Amino acid sequence: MISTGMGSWSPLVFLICVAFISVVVQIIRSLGEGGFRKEEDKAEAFFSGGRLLIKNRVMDVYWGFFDAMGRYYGWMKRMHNGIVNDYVYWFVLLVTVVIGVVILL
Amino acid sequence: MIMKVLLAMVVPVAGILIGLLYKGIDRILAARMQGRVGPPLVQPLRDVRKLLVKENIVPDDAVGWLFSSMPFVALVSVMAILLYLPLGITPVLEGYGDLILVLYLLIIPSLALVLGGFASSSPYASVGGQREMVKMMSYEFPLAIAVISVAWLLYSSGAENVFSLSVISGTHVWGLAGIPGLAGLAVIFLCMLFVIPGELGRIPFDVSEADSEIAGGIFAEYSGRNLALFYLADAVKAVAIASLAVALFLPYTVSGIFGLGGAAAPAADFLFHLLKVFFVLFVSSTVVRVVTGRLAISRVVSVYWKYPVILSFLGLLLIMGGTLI
Repeated sequence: MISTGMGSWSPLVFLICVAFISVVVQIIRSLGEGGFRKEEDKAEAFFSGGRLLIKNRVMDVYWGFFDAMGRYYGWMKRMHNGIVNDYVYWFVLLVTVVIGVVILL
Repeated sequence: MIMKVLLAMVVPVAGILIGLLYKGIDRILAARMQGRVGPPLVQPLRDVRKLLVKENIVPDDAVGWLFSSMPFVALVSVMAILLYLPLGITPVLEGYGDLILVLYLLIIPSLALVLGGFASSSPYASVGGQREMVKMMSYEFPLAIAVISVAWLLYSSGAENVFSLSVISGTHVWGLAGIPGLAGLAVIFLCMLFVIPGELGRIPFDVSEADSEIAGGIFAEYSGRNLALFYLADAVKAVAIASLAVALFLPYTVSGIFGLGGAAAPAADFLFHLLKVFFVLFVSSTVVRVVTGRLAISRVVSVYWKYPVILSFLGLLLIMGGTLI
């Protein structure tokens, strides 16, 4: 049992329950059709009737994340310019803010 | 102990049936509000049966194992949540997990949707996956503030294990707050109701599937039993998120009022809990999806970050102020 004083979690009980639920879900899953009859174009990704010329980067699961957060990453990259002095300035600034917050509280 | 084991077996399966029942009720009520008759109550069950007999197509360029395992992961994770939630009765896994665990588990079905979408090899599904991620980052913050606010209120009243769901559901938070705290709780409850359609991907926050824009988005390539599992996961998630809202804000029972004892007490409290769950879903999801249209993804982010985030902070401040006065 992992306890924080505010709450607790038992990974072992969790895993046992997940194992049981997995069996239930597998039973439901096994009630369905397992595969499909291979026919022309059937397993082509849908692209509004057109043929998909550029394959999606399916293995790069972070692609969508980086794409959606592009502006944020652009901003972060600009801040990380490789100049050590700038990093030290940021560090000093953040420490000042943290100390200020601690003193205020 | 034997009762706990039995409940651990029954509750997740019951969650599926209750979720499908609510889907049926939701469709009938939505239809009536739009002046239609609507489908029969058992239509969601028929939908699942239909999906199970359909072919299970996996696109050629998809990452097969990821594509097929994500519906499984989504359903298992939401069914597991029900074991930690007080469903009118003490949580089945009382003492083995807390509210923070439930919050983490609630993220898994959405992450499964995202990964399943990216693994589909479809541009529509990838766009849907991106939208789902952006949406998650929008609604998780007000949800976290809502949880922290209730925990803060319990903590300042001297309760221990404030993230324990049996402690939360055993305490009537509205009775702990002063007048500013009551206003704060009302605001946070409102924010919680705002979060529910986002969590469930219902109109106006259904941007990640958006049939008319991105052809079903995440689900564009899903069919057959994989789609059936996602469908069931959605049904169970509705019960889970509404049960969480009920546990946090409406943890009242009826057995004491009617002086019930023995097996009748938990049965009555469970039925009353279902009534509250259906009410919360009706207010936050059914009515909202009938009277609104889909928001653009950029609007979803700004709507969540402008209103529920600011309002929930305001609610938290009111609650904190109320405990200090």
